[in-house]
Amino acid sequence: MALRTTEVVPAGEHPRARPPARQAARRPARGRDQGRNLFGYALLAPQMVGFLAIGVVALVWVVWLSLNHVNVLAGTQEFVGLANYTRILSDPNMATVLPNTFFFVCVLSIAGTIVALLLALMLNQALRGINIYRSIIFIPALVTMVAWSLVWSFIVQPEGLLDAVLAFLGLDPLPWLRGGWLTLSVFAFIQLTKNVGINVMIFLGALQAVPQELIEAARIDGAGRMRVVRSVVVPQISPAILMVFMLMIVGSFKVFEVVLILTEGGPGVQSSVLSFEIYKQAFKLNDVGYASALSVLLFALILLLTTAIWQVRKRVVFHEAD
Amino acid sequence: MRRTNPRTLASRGLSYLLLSAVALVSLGPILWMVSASFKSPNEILRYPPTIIPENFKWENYQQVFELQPFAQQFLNSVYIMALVAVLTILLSVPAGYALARVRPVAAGVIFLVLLSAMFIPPEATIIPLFQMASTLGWIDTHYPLVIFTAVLTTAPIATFVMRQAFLTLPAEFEEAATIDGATRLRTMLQIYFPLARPSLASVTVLACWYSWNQFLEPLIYVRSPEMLTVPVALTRYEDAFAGPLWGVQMAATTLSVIPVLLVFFFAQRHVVSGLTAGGLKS
Amino acid sequence: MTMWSSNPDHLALFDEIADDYMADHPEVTSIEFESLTLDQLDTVLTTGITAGDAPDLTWLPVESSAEYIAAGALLDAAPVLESTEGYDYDDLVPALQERWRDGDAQYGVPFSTGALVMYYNADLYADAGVKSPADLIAEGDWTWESFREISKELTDATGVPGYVVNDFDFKNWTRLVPLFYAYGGSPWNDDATACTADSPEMQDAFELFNGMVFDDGSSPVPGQQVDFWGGQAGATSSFLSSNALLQDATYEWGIVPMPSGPAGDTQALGQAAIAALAAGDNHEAALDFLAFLTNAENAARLAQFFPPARESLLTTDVLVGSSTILTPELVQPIIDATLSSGRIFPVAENNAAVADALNSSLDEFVYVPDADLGEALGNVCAAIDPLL
Repeated sequence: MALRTTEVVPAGEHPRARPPARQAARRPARGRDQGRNLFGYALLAPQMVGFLAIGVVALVWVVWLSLNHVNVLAGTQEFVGLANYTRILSDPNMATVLPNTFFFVCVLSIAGTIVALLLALMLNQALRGINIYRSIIFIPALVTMVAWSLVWSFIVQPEGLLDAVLAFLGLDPLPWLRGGWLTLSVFAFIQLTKNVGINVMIFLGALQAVPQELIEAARIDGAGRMRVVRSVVVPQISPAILMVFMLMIVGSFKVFEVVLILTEGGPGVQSSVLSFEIYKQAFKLNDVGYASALSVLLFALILLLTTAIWQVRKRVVFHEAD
Repeated sequence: MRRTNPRTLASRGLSYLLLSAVALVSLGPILWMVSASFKSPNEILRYPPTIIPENFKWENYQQVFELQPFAQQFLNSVYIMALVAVLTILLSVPAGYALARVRPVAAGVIFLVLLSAMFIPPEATIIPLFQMASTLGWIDTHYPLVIFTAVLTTAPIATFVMRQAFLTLPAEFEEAATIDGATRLRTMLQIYFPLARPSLASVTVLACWYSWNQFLEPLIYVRSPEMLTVPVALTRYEDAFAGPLWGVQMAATTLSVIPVLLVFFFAQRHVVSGLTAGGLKS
Repeated sequence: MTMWSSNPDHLALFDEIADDYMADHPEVTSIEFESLTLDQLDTVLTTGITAGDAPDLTWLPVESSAEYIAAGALLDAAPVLESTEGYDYDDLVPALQERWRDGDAQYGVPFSTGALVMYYNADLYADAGVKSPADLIAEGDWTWESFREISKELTDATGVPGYVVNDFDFKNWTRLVPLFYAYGGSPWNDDATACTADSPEMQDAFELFNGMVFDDGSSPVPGQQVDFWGGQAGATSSFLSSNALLQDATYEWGIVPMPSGPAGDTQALGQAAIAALAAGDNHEAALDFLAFLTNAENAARLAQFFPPARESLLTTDVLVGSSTILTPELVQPIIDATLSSGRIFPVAENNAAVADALNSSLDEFVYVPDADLGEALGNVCAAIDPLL
């Protein structure tokens, strides 16, 4: 099982080849600009047109819906201004749902990235049989989230496999799915184990591209193993870390399947998250207007968070091109 | 070969221990799933749970296909996944190239706009997209699953990846090609695209993975059993009185997992290289 | 139209009826049945209405009746039914139609009026040496209190739950309606304008239920799955139509009416009707087929699976039909109870939201160990009152 591809441009070339973008941007002569622009826009057109026609229209639409009260059964729609938004403020459920959502964002993005990084570092060692471990840890990533949640629903149900393990250890069963921190942690665990394999692979690829000379040089300077990781390896793979971190943030807002399959957000809304509430309000309770207001809130939150991270990135990430 | 001192040995032992624990969490549920797929509902609920099924209930597997057009649903998932991947590549590779190498005026702004698209959660736009799909007559078809998914989610992510990939390729190729009189198009197609193949594998894997996992979208857009995709189908195994059929459900789940695992083990090199390559390294 | 059942026998019968209809009505070229569970039904209907491709006819549980009628989503079938030859409109039992009628209008025709009854595993009781529900009935002591006692005895003796509420999962409050009625309680008042879930009657009912779940351990805790039909519980409450699940039972079983309580004998009835949607494309044809599907003759054919709401069909002969499970002795008491003390589930106009609030607040506050029921039910009312 070869985990490293041979198709990659030899790793040694990278440090020297950089930063190509700036050169490319500076170089063109004025006369060529028009052709360059035309060519560039032609290449960008399909993606941009699609995005404008679907994404932007959908966003405007959802904002408009959020200002209306929609009665699906009667097929009527009535402009209510900001009423749906003031309802968010007074909705007691939101006092639980929003912190839950943030819990997943924080835990999954931070813990998810760190766990994946640690696993990748461990899997990057030259140990016998390491390839088997690499494959096994990747397996859950191949299972759909629904399948993974279904299986886990049997494991964490009362008198399920997990309770049996506890009993074997002489412990009392725990109410895994009855709300509170325990349920949120169970969900975070299920979500994290499902996707950690992908991130591990991304990190492994980055780790294997770290120039060996740099590590050797640090070793010769007398740096310990931890020190090498901290001062050489992590900065070298920082683009991959950023990538994984961002993907985890986006993914963490979509803890959905596990909520739907295991608890439907219950008891009450104790294990619910924003994306599940949107689904419930829109498609179960037929309150499209309110669900739209929640959607706008969700989008605003994500935009805020990613903008903040994108700002921080410039300071943290080692040699970013722009 | 260096001689192994006790400290490295201990650290190795610790590594094995930790890795084995993680492997257990990864593999345990899968094994439990396979075991449950052969059990009667009774045995699935038994406490303490049994590891090896008492009587192998092969009927569970038979019922998977009797209760739902599962083979058809599986094919649906596969071909939707393939279309999403193709569309994603068609949209993202040129766009990524334009943003990295051509850099027309306002490329930076366009990049930020696309980047923000990456962060529009599908949940946030599902309501207007559903209404859009119904206006277009796309309800209970696969169009929204392919087009909306690719345009709004996988292609922006892929554009991001491809941009990074093209950025890491040296600009000298471009200059050399220009001197040789190659057109921009030829430079792109003949020089840069082949060099970006590993990243191409990477976005293909990501797009496939995303599409294969999709649940909310098919749940909302698709209705008839023969149009459903696997993840939603798995939640629909019920007897005539809407009682859940756990054994059959687990059998279906197993069947949905096995082919993917097989593909993974045969194509492991490509899948893994796809994931590990692709502009994600320093 | 959409159907609730995925049972091949049911579907075959519906197809047969559809074929008969099309034979007489060449202008109708196809009638398709789409099988949906209750879970999916509401979503499919509302999204279908939004998308402009709603089914012409649909089944609808009685809980949704008021909501759909108030929104004007259903067509009035009364004129067509009354004018259809041989329909025998007056044969429909008025008490069983009330949720679907508004003045002279009739917005749906009940095709299944299911009594919630108690199924029990006679072998388990016999082996454990515990009195069975039938023994209690013979003693004239068939109450929830005494049922709680035998359930606990059975659980203590065998380790299996004495009682499991079928299709309940702590998310489906209607399955507890027999208990509410036995204690004279209901989650809201008759015209569904105020919450009564915190009434003393409801408190007593939940006292008993929580006691069985959390104190006696004779009923599964939230989240725990128990399969009565496979022989893993002493008794379960379910609709009469579930008897088909006993087809493969390897144990002796019995069917009895639900226990009585302080409020005396009542028979809780679930109901589902077939209704024509205003959002459908073929109003006339839909109503015409509805009249055909629910006429006396076809209602009799459907009665082998679905308990009818027609006076002439509420007989042991019809209900037992060709069943290999039911016998006249089993069915007679249930028919008597249906006609004498039958009460359909409570209905609220804002059903989707109310049911969700009720289920989730019950789950959060009431179905917990050592719940202070007075306070918990107060919280439940706080959750649903604003929605009524």
